[in-house]
Amino acid sequence: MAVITYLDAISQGLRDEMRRDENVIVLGEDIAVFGGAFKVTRGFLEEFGADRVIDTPISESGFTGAACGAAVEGLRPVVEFQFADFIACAFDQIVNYAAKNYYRWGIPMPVVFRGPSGGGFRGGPYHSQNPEAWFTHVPGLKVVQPATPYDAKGLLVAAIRDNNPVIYLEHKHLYRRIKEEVPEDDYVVPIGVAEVKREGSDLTIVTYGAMVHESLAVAERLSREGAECEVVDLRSLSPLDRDAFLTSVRKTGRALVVHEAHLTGGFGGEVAAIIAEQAFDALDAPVTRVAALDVPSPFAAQLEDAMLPTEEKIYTAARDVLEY
Amino acid sequence: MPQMGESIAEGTIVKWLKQAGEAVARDEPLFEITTDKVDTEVPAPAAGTLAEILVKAGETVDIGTAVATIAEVGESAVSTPGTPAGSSSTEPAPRSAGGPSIPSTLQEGARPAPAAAPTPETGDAPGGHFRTTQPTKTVSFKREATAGTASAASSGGRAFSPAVLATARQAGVSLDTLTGLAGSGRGGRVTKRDVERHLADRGAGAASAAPVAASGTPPPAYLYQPKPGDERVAMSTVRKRIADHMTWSTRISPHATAIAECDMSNAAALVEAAGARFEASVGAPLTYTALVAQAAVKALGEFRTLNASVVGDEVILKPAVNLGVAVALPDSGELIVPVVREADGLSLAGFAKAVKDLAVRARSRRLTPDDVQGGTFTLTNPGIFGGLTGTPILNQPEVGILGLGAVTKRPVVLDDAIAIRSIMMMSLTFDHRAADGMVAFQYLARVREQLEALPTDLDTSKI
Repeated sequence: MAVITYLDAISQGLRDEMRRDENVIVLGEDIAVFGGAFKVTRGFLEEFGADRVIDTPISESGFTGAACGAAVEGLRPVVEFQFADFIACAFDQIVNYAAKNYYRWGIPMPVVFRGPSGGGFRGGPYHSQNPEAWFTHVPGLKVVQPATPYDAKGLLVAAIRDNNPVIYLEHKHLYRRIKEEVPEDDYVVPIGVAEVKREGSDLTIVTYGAMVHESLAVAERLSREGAECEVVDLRSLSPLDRDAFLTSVRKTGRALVVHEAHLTGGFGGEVAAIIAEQAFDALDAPVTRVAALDVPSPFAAQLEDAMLPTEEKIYTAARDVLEY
Repeated sequence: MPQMGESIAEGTIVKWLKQAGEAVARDEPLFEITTDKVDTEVPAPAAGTLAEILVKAGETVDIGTAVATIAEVGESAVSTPGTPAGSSSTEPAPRSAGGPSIPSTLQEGARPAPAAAPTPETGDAPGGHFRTTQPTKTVSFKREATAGTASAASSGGRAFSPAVLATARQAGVSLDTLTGLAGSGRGGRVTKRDVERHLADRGAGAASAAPVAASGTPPPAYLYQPKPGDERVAMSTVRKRIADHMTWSTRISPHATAIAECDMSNAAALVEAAGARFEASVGAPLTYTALVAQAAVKALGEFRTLNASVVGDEVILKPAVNLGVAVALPDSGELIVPVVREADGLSLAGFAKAVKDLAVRARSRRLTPDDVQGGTFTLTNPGIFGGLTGTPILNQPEVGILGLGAVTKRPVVLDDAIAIRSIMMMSLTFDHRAADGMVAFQYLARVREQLEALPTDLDTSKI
């Protein structure tokens, strides 16, 4: 097994599926000749040809609609949004067409929408957003957000083979920063199954995406201080593996919900509500959330640091819950 | 090492275009790099002399790593201005860029400019929210924690979480016990772990140390702070046990005390007339205690709810009376309660002998553990010290304790005339869970009837 980056794992998963199934195509801005803004599809044009690796005009709504049409005709398109922020341009196609096709007409809609998301690198307000909650609100869509190279490849393969539209949010900050041994063989990380990334008995941290790594660092630090945190990586937000975090909270009695997206209306509120509804008797402290401030992503380093959830903020909140 | 794009974490120096010691102008190409995305020349961020090359051609480093230092005009070339703190050349941070940051450089104060702007295109140094060494101040989520604390405080710090209540309910821990627990949470809040610890303690050594701990620490407002000049005396073991027992007893049982007078003139006449002969015959003195004990035990046969214990929703009636008789130890004054077993089978002589035996052995400290266990009702005698009456505390798990005042001669109205009679006050403290006032006063009346009907002499040859 080779140690590869999160980005290479995505690239590998995509390439393997294109080799395995000729119905799989990719399309998006600058993905063919240029190999993609982040080079996920570098070399794809040469290997698979211009019929399957398609550069599109700068019109998210247009190429999303085209992909949905292709899916109706039996292809399995993988759409790359250059930045997840721009997925808003294709919102109607995704939430009103792709999400409802099967419900309305019984037509499978095997499309994957890849969105490079997240901040932390001074990208400013249009290149840093985490839009998962826009889509978890819409029935008919699946939403996944991998944190590790292994999960990134396994979830992408699962998404491509799924007959439903899947929003696949990959965190840009993890692209070349996180490396892991990833099997070269065919494998799938099932959609809708969370994973306990670290076991503990004192506090449950429910998180996903880039914040998994921050949360693990906090857990390590708290372990040295005598408190054991259980870190539950949701991996999929829709469908949601409720049992995974409810089981953990019933064990620890304390829950901290962490995500990089904004606090208000963020997916953490849903997790907190489920815990309150279904594990109330187990709670020994208020369910607490750590998330980004409710402001657009600032460009200035100091301001972005103040806006994003940092390891320090997670640590402080975790101590608050543990000491309650 | 500048950041050449959002996802780039590291870069490789291809070639240095200037050598150490050479002068460089601002924006003059300084070195070439290659990254996953682009290959480019990097211009000098400031004018001066290239003082030192820190990363050689061919080496790959994280973005933000200092690769060289430039001495500005008028500055010694050997100094390393603006070398960022936490640079990964000395302190590699796992998984993160670990690079320098604007704030840390500014804090150093000396020469912020060179490090502050690695390249015009990339702007600020990287690191972002993955940087772990920089504490950040704004924490809006504190709101929730503050709110939670306030609500707990407003209910007197005795709010219990769902987990605490569920755990207590399952284990049969009462709300009273929870309230008494010393909490390890914020503001003394009882946590689930505190309850679990209490359960473990309870299981480990129920009878011994646990109750003391479980009686809890009272709020500071009720605690005396010792001052200079106070004498501090450590409690003896017996004192501690009594303190614990009394604290628990008042918590466990709702105490009520019924008081009645009793005319002991016949008893006094009996002791006067037959006391010496009785002692000679029996070997133990004829005392008021023995006379009252006999009457008290006999009356319990009629009022069985006073010879009982309360367990949950049940009152457990005992088949026999084991009568505890409180004895004050002579030197310390500490109280001990030896038990007369199956007292309802005893004659007056039996009571006299039993009371004498226990008193003697108690005062010479020769009681066995069995002697002080298994009581079902207790007799206590504050009258020995001249007391008029008292309100005794129940000896758990009993539900009745009868206190005897001093027998004193007093003028009383008898058949519409004033007479001098020997009067004794009786006080019965009872557990109001097991019985009500009616039973308590009826019981006292029955004891009184027996004592007032005593003969004034006794044929001691028949005992």
